[in-house]
Amino acid sequence: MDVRIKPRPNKRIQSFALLFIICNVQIGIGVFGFQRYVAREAGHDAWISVLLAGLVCHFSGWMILRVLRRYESADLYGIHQDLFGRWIGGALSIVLILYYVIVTVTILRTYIEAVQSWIFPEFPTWLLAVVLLFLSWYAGISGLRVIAGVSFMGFLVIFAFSMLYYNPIQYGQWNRLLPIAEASPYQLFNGAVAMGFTLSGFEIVFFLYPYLKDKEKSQKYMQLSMLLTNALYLFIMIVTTIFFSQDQLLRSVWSSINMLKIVKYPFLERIEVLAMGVWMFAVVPGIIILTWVISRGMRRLFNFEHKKVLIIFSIGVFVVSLVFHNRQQIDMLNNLISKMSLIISFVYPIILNIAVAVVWSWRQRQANKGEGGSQHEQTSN
Amino acid sequence: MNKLQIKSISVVIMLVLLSGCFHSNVLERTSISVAVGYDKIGEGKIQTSSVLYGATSKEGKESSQVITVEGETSKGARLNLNQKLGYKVVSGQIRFIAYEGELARDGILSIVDTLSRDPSYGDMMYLAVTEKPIRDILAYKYPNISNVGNYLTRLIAHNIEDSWVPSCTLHDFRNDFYSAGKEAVLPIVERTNNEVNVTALALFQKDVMVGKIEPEQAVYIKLLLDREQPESLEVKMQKDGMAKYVKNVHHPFETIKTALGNLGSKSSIKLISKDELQFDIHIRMNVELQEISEDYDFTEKGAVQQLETELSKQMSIDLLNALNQLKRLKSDAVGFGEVYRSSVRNSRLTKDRWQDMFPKAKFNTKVTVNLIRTGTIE
Repeated sequence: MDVRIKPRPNKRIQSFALLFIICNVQIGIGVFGFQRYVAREAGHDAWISVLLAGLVCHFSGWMILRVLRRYESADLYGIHQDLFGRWIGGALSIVLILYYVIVTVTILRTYIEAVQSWIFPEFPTWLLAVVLLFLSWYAGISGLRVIAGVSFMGFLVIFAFSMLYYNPIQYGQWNRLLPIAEASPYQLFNGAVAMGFTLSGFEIVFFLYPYLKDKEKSQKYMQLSMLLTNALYLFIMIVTTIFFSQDQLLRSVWSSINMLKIVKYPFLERIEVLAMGVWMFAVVPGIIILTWVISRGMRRLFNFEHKKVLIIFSIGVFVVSLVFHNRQQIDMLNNLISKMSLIISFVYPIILNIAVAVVWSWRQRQANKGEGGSQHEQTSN
Repeated sequence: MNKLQIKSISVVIMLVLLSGCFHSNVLERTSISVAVGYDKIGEGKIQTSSVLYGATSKEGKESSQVITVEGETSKGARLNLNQKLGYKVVSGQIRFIAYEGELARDGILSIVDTLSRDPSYGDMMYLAVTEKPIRDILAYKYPNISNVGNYLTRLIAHNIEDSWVPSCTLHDFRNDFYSAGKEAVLPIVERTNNEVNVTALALFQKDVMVGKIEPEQAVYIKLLLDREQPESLEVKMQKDGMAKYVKNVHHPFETIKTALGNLGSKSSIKLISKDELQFDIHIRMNVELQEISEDYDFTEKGAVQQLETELSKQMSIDLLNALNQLKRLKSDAVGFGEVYRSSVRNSRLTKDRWQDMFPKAKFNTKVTVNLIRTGTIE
């Protein structure tokens, strides 16, 4: 496996597309019910936690691109191999792939759960799973450009629907936000940690980077994308805090959908049902990007054929998602994944930065010591 | 066929097959419930009365049908409901839910939670309380009301918009129930002969009804809640300082009664002493005079000012009385607890703690009335 990859120009996308893709992977399904996890830790100061987590997110994004810039045109699979060698690097990549498989299952199963709870209680899990996985397979074989297009759709849906939250504001009581900063720093920190899984997903830029046409603009669009995500989360968190009373919030599983229950138009009385259905546009991009990342990884690591991997993967995810039957199991899955996502999205970029700094300076020294340093570096690759 | 064709055909097939109705509810083949009432009959038994849309007559007049069933839980009663009906009951159109006073005094949380748990119910349906069995209201044959369920919904809705009834939706109730420093209020609905009307407000402690408050006082609670505004209110004052502006006195009078149109009011509640629990309550109102019981001379100098002062004075007394009524019943319907919680750092306020503290609260009330106009005449 080559560390650096040079995709053909017709497979590349513009950095501008990062704006939609990253936003979409981050928001997806988490926006339905992240509020109560944060509020459970930080109370009515949850918005401060969201803000803090957002800042950390920007920092992590910057760290990730710092690593990628060094390699010019490599993805994380290549970087793993370069830094840790074939076996350890490969193992890390496999762990990462497994992580993304579980994330895909989580997204899929959480969305199906929500649909079953809100619209069709008797809707069979397998049917919706088949429909969604068919979409992800279809997008997966069509390549990154189609994925970027679907993300754009999801992006529009997300921001169109966030306009609806104007209505709950009118029912809000602003004094619920007072007194500001009552929560202790420790509670705020815990609240920010609870945002981990909700915010994670931006690290897929690790895999998209080689496919970007204008890499020098990547930082700009990535930060902009994360800024949009954070602004949306902050907005929704504030609306939620003023709309619900404290205990009421802790009791609602899908607070964002609950808030839409009060939106009423003469021609459409129950907009939350519509929102639930249309939100598929926001969930699908998340699934298909992860599918793409996984199949890329399998190809890079084992030289598996793209199409076959997609089918095997789809069947695998389908089977695994049928294992989960009730809310407890899905909650358990979410809890597990949120811890892992913390490490992978926020801690790992820092570790990588350190590793890159150590390994590269070590190589530099080796190169300076021996006269045939350049040859040494060649072999160490 | 080339690949593209296969692809596009399969997409079309997907669209056709997968967009079909998974679970259809044909309008003619469902029993649409519009209002539900819960009565307590004996220990632990609930009687549910449901108003359904009846068949529309040839003249296009809507009709209704009322079904009553019993059950151990509200949901159980609804299941029994199906045994009495030709079509499945659907609950998405329920706009009005009423609880009998007996039931409300025992606590209604379990029924309210059931409503909220089920996504087919809306959050914006109105809750109300009745003193007499709700069945008497729903099952009565009114000569002028075709569907009492819809009628009650409209009754509550317009009273919330224009009159003294504070918003009483399911969302409001749960919101208040789960907040540390505020209690819920629901309107009380009664039937007198051929009419139904809203008579008072039921006050709650958590989910238990503890008493009621009359419309004259309830209007002040609504003013303090600050969302919808009452359109008008009546004030009865001692004549004292105003006697000199009254012309043509034909009869001896003690009080002057006025009806005021509310053109917009603002209220503020401030905690001024957290140890003594002192609250400053200030309502600023722009009003127009709609009626005055005596022949008041507005042309005279100082007459309008005098009326304003007297109104302000009287209203702040009335306001204080309303608040003291709340204090007596230990039901903080205005949300002073929320004010306390939001102004005292690390108060760790819980509902139980506030219930003990609230009766000790002291109120300084002040109402500033600004008489904008006196209608089209002076």
